[in-house]
Amino acid sequence: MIDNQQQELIIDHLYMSFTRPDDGVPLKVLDNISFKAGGGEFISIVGPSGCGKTTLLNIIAGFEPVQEGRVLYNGQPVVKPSPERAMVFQSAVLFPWLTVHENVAYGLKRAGMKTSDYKSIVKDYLKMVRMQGFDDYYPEQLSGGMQQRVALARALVLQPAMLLMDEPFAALDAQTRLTMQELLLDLQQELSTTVILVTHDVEEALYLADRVYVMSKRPGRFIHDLTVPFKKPRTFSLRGAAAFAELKTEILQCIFDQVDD
Amino acid sequence: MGNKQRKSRVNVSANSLRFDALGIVLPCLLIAFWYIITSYGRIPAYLLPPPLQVGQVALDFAVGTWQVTPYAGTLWDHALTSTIRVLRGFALAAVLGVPLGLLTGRISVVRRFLDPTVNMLRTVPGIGWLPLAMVWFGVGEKTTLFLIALAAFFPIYINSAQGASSVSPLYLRAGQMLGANRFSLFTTIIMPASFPSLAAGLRLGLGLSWAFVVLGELTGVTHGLGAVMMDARMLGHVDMVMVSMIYIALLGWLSDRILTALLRLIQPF
Ligand SMILES: Nc1ncnc2c1ncn2[C@@H]1O[C@H](COP(=O)(O)OP(=O)(O)O)[C@@H](O)[C@H]1O
Ligand SMILES: [Mg+2]
Repeated sequence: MIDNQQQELIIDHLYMSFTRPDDGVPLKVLDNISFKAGGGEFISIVGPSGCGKTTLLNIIAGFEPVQEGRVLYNGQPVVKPSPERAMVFQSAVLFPWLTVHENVAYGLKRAGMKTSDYKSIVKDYLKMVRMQGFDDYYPEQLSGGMQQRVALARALVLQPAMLLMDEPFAALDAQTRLTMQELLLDLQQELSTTVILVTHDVEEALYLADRVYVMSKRPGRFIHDLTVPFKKPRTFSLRGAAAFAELKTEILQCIFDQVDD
Repeated sequence: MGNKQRKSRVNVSANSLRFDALGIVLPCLLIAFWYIITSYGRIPAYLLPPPLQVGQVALDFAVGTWQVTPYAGTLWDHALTSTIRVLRGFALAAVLGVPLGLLTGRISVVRRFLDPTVNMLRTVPGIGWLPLAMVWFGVGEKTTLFLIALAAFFPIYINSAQGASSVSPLYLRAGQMLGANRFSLFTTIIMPASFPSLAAGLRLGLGLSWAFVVLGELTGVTHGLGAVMMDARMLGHVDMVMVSMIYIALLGWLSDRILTALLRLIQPF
């Protein structure tokens, strides 16, 4: 569907292990991961807790070094973090000493933009995530969902080619999670940013993505992948469709078989 | 809308300043007890003057109306001298302690280079430096500054280092991902994230500065509240000794309030 020239990110036979702090024994976390991402595609990676999802994203973001295998971004090995690959963390990780406005402006300032120039841009992005009017609030005065919206604006304002999302809605209540999923779906359509979202929520993965990878329990490897056939823009009613339920069951079965052995 | 929110949080932090009637019961009882034991002849005035006398001397020290002691009206002069010494010593400690502490907290080479020495020096009680300081700097100004700066340095250094070393790695990652380089990471993430701990260190340091200005001034300078205390003791003015203690406590408290307000101005969160 998407030709190789367009692929911004290439993960090629990636392995990763940590040293267990208590006995120094290596702990295998990622086992032969290969995939490509780019061209505005929305990829979900779904897998059980502790399977290595965060580790995988951290490597793609450049927070963790590549031990074995290759991670190429636009043909270059990933060695350090970059605003081109912006991350939305599981907890929002907003800077508590900065206001909402200042948090969103942070990356623009680092890029050397002047106050007069970024002011209106920040406002636009806050509006985009439906957080207009909260400019002067401090993060601790916001609910979890609002904080995650600001984190999203803080990343998107840098117009990243790729958005990395680490279970961004896992800590939110069910209703807020649904609202955030709709928001993300809309924004991704509008901005056509490539997204890699990791989650343990199968429905979330399926509803948002163009492609889903299923990860095994640790050491994480891809045990299944599927192209999601539903056209975008999608609407809420899709969640109730029989075809949607079928795919959901297919993925759950995959994960379930894993837990068995 | 945003401003309203901000105000309410200031109110929350101002709660600690709110007047609590229970807190003044004990001081009132102590003063009553002091009044009773001094006015019924149990304790002679040359050991413990009665509260009213101390009150009058305190007022006279400030305004000089009654001339009850040779120190009448000289409070401002002495208080200013002591305050300037405290500010100079404290400033020296802060200028050295904050950057060195932050660097120690973040850069392993600096920590390995500085920390053992600082911890070794720290084991010598501040007062223990007095004789050596007098040999090195003579009696007076320089010795006082040295003692204050030395004593205030340690809590400032240690708290800054502690704050810098415990900055959440997630903040650092977020900063890097948003395009911060090594330098801006330091100024825009590490410094503000360490700020609460750094501020606590500064407040401790300022408190110690007042303790050590008295120590320095006890040793033969002519101006300053510590000098007044020593002088009054020799002349047998116990009331003046007590009055000096009270004013030092007041100045210490006042300077802490001012420092806290300044720190809150720098970082309202
Ligand atoms: N820095 C680390 N040092 C050692 N082990 C780690 C480290 N980070 C993660 N792990 C381990 O690696 C495994 C995968 O972690 P993670 O990638 O966070 O999983 P997930 O995000 O899928 O829940 C876990 O067993 C975790 O304990
Ligand atoms: Mg995780």
